[in-house]
Amino acid sequence: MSAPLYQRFGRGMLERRWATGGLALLLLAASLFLGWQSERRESAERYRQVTVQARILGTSVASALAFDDDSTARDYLAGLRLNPSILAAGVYDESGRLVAGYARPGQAIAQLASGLDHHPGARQVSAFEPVKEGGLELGHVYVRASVEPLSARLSRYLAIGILLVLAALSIAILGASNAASAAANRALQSEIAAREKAQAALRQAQKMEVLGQLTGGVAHDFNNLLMAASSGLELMERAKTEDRRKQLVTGISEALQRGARITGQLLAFARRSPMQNEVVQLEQRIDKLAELLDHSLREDVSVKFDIGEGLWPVQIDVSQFEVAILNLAVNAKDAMPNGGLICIAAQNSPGGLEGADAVEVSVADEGLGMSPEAIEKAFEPFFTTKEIGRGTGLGLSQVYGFVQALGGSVEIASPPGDGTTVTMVLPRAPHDEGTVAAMPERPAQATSIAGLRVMLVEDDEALNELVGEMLVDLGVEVARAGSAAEGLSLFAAGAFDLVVSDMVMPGKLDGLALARRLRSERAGLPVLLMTGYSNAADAALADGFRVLRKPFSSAELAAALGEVAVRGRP
Amino acid sequence: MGRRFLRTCCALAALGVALSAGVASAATPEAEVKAAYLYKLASFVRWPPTPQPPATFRLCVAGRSDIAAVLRGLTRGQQIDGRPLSVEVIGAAQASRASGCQVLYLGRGAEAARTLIGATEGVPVLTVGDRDAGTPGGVIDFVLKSERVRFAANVKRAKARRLDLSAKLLDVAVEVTR
Ligand SMILES: Nc1ncnc2c1ncn2[C@@H]1O[C@H](COP(=O)(O)OP(=O)(O)OP(=O)(O)O)[C@@H](O)[C@H]1O
Ligand SMILES: [Mg+2]
Repeated sequence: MSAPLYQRFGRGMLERRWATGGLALLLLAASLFLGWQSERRESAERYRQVTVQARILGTSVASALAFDDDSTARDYLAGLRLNPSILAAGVYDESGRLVAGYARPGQAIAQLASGLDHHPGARQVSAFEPVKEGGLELGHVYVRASVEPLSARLSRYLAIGILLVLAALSIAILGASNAASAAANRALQSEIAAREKAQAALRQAQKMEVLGQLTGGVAHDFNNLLMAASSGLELMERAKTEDRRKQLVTGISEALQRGARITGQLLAFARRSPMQNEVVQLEQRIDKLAELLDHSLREDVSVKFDIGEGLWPVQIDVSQFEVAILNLAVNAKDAMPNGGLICIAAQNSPGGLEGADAVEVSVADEGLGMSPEAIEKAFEPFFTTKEIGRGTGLGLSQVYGFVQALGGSVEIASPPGDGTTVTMVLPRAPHDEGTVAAMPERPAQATSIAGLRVMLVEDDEALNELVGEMLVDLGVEVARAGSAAEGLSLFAAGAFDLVVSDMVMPGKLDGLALARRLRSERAGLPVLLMTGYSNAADAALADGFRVLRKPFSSAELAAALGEVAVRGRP
Repeated sequence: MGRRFLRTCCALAALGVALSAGVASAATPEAEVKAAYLYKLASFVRWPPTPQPPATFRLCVAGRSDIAAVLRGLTRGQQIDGRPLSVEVIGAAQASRASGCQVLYLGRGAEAARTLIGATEGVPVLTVGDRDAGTPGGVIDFVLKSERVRFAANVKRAKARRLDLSAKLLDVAVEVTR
C-alpha cells in the first residue's frame, strides 16, 4: 500500500517541480523585461535628476555669481561634491568664465562654458542650466553625473531576479511540502484506520478474555449452587421424613437444567473448565446426538446427518461437544421460525487447520441468515438479537470456547438468502485409530472404600454437609473441616486414610496447597480434590492429584474415591 | 589639484576683469563693479506692491557721475520687473525727487547722504551707502574687503522701508545687521 502511495506522491512532486520551474522562468523573464524597461527609463530619469540638481545649484549660486563671491559658489559646489554620482560641476559667470568648479579624478571640467561637453560618455549625463535672478542672467551651472554602469545594474537585476526566483521557489516548495504533508496525512489516516482495525480486533480478543474471566468467576458460585441442588435431589431418595424431603426439594427446580447448561457454556468459554478430553470417533456419537436433538427441537424442524466415511478421531470433551452441537442446532431452529431442515455434517479436512489435519463439523440451516455485523459479534458472550428470556447470547460463546480450548477454530458463513452454516474445525487426534479408547468403564469400587477414615475439607457449609452425608452413605468414616487451616490441624490429630478437599477456599491455604502440605507430611496419601472451576486445576492435575469435577453424583464420588484409594495404597 | 584649480580661477578672474574693463571705456574697475552691483542688487530685493507702479525703474546715483555713466551703459535696453530702467544723477538739492527712486546710491558726501536718507525715511527706496566713501547708513553699504567690493546688509533698515532682502543676498553679504 505504501508503494503506490509513494509513487503517487512522487508523481505529484514531479508535476509540482515542473510547475515550480515554469513559474521561476516566468518570473525571471518578467524581471528581465522590467529591468530592460527601467534601463531605458534610467537615463531619462537620471538626466532629469541632474537637471534638477543643476537648477538647485544655479539658484544657490545666483547671488555669489552676481556679486563675484567665488568662495560662496565653491561652498555650494562642495555640497554637491558629497554626492558621489556627480562627476564634475562648474559655475560659469555671464561671460562663460568658470567661477568655481570641481571634477572627480579621471574627469575634466571645462574652463569656459563654451567648451562644455553636453553629450558626455555613454554612462554619463550632463546638464547646463542658466542662472537667473529676477530676469537677470547671471551665468550658468554645469553638472555631469554618472549613470550606474550597466554591469552594476545587471548584477542588481540579477540579484533581484535571484531573489525573485528564490522567493518563487520557496513558495513552490512550501506548496509542495504542504501537498506532501497532505499526502502523508492521507497515508497516516489510512494507516491509522488499519491500525484501528487491528486494535479493534485486539480489543475484541481482550474483551473476550476479560469476559471469560468474569463468566468463569460467576460459574464458581453458580456451580456450588448446582452441586447443592443435585446432591439434594439424590439424598431425597434416602430421606426418611416428608419434612426432610420437602426441605431438600425447596429451591431445587427446573432451572437446574438451564443453570447447568449455562455454567457449562460459561466455563467452556472461559476455558477454565477442566476439560475431560477423550479421544473419540465422532460417528459413534451421532445416535446419542440425534436423540438429544429430538428432544430439544420442534416438530417442524428436521435434522439430517451427513457424516463422512472413516472420520479421523478427535480429542474432545464429549459433553462439551454435545452442548456445542445443541447450541448450534437451537440457533438454527430459532433462525427458522417456520420450520426447515438442519444439516449436521462432519468430514475429514486434510491440512485444514493451518496445515494440520482436522475434522470439520458443521451445522447448516436454511433460515434467516446473519448480517456481517452480527457475524462479527456473534461469538461475543451475551451478544444476542433474541428477546429477553429467549436467548442469553452464550450459545456461540460456548462453541467458541470449546473449539478454542481444543486448538481448533470456528467460522460462520451466511451468504445472503442461503441460511447459515457454522463450521467447527477440530484438530485430528494425535492417536492412531487403534488406540481410541472406548468409553471408560467405571470400576465399582464401593466395597474397597468402605471403612476408610476420610477427612473432608470444604468451606461451603451446605456442600460440606451434603458431601459429608454422601460419604457416610458410601460407608466411610468422615471428619469435616471448614477450611484448609482447620483441615491441617484435624489431620495432625487423627489418622486418616484419605483426604477429600475442595480446591478454592478462602484463607492463606487453598485446597491444592493443603494437599501438597499433607502429601509432604505423608507421601502417598490418597487425596481427592473437588472443583467446578479453578485456576489451579491444571496444576493439581500436573501434580498428579485426582480432580473430581463438580457437580458430581454419589456414584462418581465413589468411583473417584476408589481410584485414589487404590492408587494411594502402598 | 585644488591649488592648480584655484590658480586657474584667479587667472581667469583677472582676465574677466580685464575684459569687462576693456568694454566699459575709461571707467575704473571700482566704478565698473559698483555699477554692476547696483544693477544686480535690484534682482535680490522685493519692493512692496503699489497700486500704481511707476512706469520706469529708477536707479539714482548721488555724487558719482562716473558710476552713473557705467550704469547707463549696463542697463541700456534692459528691464527690471518688465519696466525700463532709467539712471538718474541726483544731488542733495533734489532730495524731494529721491523718494521716487527705487535704488539710491550715495556715492559721495556724508552730508548729502544724510539729507537724502532722511528725505526717503520710511519710503521703499533701496539706499546703498559706501563705507569707503564715508557715506554709510544705507540698507546696503559697499565695503572694500581684500581689495574687492563687497557689501553689508541691514535688514532692520530694509524693514523700515518695507523692502524684502533676498536670503541669497544676505548669503553673500560680508555683514548682516538684523
Ligand atoms: N444459525 C443462525 N442463523 C441466524 N442467526 C444466528 C444463527 N446463529 C446465531 N445467530 C445470531 O447470533 C446471535 C448469538 O447467538 P448465540 O447462540 O451466541 O446467542 P443466542 O442464541 O442469542 O442466545 P443463547 O444461545 O445463549 O440462548 C443470535 O442472537 C443470532 O442473532
Ligand atoms: Mg444460541
